[in-house]
Amino acid sequence: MAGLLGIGQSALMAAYAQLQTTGHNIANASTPGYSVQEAQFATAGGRSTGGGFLGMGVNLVTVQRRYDRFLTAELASSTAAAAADQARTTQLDRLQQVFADTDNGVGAAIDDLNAALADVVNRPSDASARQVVVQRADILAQRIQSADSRMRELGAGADEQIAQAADHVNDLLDQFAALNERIAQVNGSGQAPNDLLDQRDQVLLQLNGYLKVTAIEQDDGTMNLFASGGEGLLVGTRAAKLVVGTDPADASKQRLVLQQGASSLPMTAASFGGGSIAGLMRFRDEDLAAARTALSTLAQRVAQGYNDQQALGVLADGSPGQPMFAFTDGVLVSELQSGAALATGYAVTSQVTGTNSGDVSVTQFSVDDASIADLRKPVTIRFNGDGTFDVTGDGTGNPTGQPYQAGSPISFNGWTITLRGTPQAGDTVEIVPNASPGTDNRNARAMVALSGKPADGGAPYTDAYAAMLADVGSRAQSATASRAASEGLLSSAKAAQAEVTGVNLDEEAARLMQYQQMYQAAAKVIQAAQSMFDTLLSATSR
Amino acid sequence: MTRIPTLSAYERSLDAMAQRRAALAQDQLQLSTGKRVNSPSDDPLAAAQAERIRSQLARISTENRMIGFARQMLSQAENTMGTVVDALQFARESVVAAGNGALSSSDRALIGQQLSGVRDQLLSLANQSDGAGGYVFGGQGTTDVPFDAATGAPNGPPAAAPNVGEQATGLDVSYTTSQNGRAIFVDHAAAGGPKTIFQTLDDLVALIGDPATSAADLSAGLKDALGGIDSALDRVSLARTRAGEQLRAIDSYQQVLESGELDARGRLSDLVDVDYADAISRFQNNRTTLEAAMTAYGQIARMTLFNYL
Repeated sequence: MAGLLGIGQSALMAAYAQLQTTGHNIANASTPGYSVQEAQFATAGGRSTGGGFLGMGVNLVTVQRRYDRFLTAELASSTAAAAADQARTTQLDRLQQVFADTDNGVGAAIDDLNAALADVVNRPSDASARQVVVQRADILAQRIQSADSRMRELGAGADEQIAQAADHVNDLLDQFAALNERIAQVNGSGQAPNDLLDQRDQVLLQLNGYLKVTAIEQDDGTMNLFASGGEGLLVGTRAAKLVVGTDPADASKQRLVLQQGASSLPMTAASFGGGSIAGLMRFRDEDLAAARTALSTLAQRVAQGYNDQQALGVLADGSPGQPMFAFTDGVLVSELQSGAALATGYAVTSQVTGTNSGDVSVTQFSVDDASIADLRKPVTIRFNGDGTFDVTGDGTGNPTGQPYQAGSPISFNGWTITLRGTPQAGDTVEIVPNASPGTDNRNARAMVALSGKPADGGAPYTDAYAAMLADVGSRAQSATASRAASEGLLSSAKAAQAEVTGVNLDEEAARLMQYQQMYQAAAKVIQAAQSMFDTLLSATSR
Repeated sequence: MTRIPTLSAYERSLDAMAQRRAALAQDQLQLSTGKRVNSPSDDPLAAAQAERIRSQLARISTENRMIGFARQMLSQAENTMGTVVDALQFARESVVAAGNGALSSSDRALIGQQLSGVRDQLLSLANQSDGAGGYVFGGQGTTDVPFDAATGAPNGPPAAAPNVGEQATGLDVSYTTSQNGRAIFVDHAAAGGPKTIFQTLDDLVALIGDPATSAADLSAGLKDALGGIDSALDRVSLARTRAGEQLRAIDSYQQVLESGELDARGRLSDLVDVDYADAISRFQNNRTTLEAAMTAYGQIARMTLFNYL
């Protein structure tokens, strides 16, 4: 009877332990990172009798968490990948918003400047048309400035987020070290501290949100952590620290240094491999840097193009045109102070002599190099009867017998003239100083043509801007696509892991019933033992 | 058998619903802006092409402004030159009339006055403002009236009266906005060197007005004047024809620009505008799916074994 009572008691205890475990599972059904626990039982063995082995009941062996090391590792690495893509996509989305409004973009500002210049071509002496150019040039410079300063802000924002992430990583590493220590303390008991292990896995998962961490389990139950580049983040209970510092190669940039005791190790983007820090660094150092370089290249080309064209022209008083824009330290500023500073005319002009007997006329005249000292010197092109011409004037070297071909350009002293028609012997074309360049529109026309066909031979300015737009757009698009992919992988890794470790309330409800019944049955066994004892007692009490 | 843990079942259906909501928000944005491409990442290629087309449209509009101005200036010049032709014709008739030997000296004086009036009219036509701060016959680069208001001599250096050319506008084309007055009103081939039509008429008026002029001198003077007027008529007609040709060319170029603009707008619309039928059906589709997901979520969330214990 004592045996039966013992068996009943062991069954009661087993059922109670199982009910406790079930209760714990139900209680933690919504706890992130919780792995469902199961009480493991084994028979208490048998006692040998002459009539065979009599069972002695049940023993609680251990409480085990349902766990799969590989699924957990996969969840950690897909968390790191998804966090990197998420961080980069969010930033790229902001970056592309800088360029989203094309109607008020840099390209539109270039076109607006051209439209204003076209009005000056139509009415070169109209002060109000010139004033509009002054304003449009300023608006163009402001648009570029504002796009650049928004990008600078994005860069500063990314730096700040990286610094915050580093702080969180340091906190999490400390927590991880503390958990390692507690786990090592109970390691000797031979029983797994399920809840501590879950907590530590959860901290590891959070760490992977910031950087990709490789965890290696040690014999004492602790885990050592390493970054993707093999840098030791935590060995035993000694956690390293991520510290924000300036990049010695470029003082305007910030970088992360891993400090472990006295040693400090600079971390590159490759050291992170994943997590939001890797995503932010990739955005800052690749995507944002590319967009800023493209904008600054465009700004520089615009400044160079308009400045060069200004320099080829002269103002109303005959003085050479001054730069329209200043481009210093990546910042574009309009230098055009007044409409009068717009060099719409050329210093020299061509004149077909009225007494010519042939029909030679000028199809094109331009100044290509205003730096030549003899630019303004009068030059006469005199045709001979044999299809050649002589040139007289300072700086030309007075060549004679040059072959004349209609439509082919003739260049001297920094200007180029193209003639057509058939000249007769003695006909002349003269290049003379321009008497009133303020009403001359030829250099202004060259400025309007500039944006569509830049003198540097590069793509038209607005095309370069469109290409930049496409680059930013496709970076954002591909980041969004890879975020969708990595989120898909993350959610299937989550599902796969949850399938093993998650709490299913229906399952727990069934267990609750099952072990409630077991508990009742065990109680019945005890009751049976007691009533047997009572029967025996009453039989022997007389 | 697949175990579906309760928490992850909730999370998964919430994720699915969140995705559906995001898709709905995107559909709604497209429907409310009427644009399929609202930010460059929606379709980077289309966004870049749209930016190129926007710029192309801006160029077309700039070109239109330029040639529109040229059209205005050319038609003004053409009208003015028509009046110049009329005045020259009138002067020619007067000169022919002055040659009539039966005229009395007072009749001839009257003709002299008429010619003087025509000369003044021609000079004011030659100096006519273009209403845009320049002169119809100012040519390229003159600030002053093209001809001296008193003497009618060409203004501006060099005084030798070479051509000052014409002022032109246009981006891919070139049309005249200011006529070269010296090529019209100055006879460069005149026997005594370049001579303006005003000078020719001045000389004639002086000849007619001088009672001492001999019949032979008068006859020779009238002949000279007729020659001068005829050559001026030739030059102004030539310039007028060229202006007319340019106006016709502008008309056809404007049509080219218009069709180019229409084409560009069509392509822009194809690139970035939303296809409403498509967007509405997608919106409906996403809405139905979201509603179904919500219904399913509500029903599954209520189903648990605990209800039966």
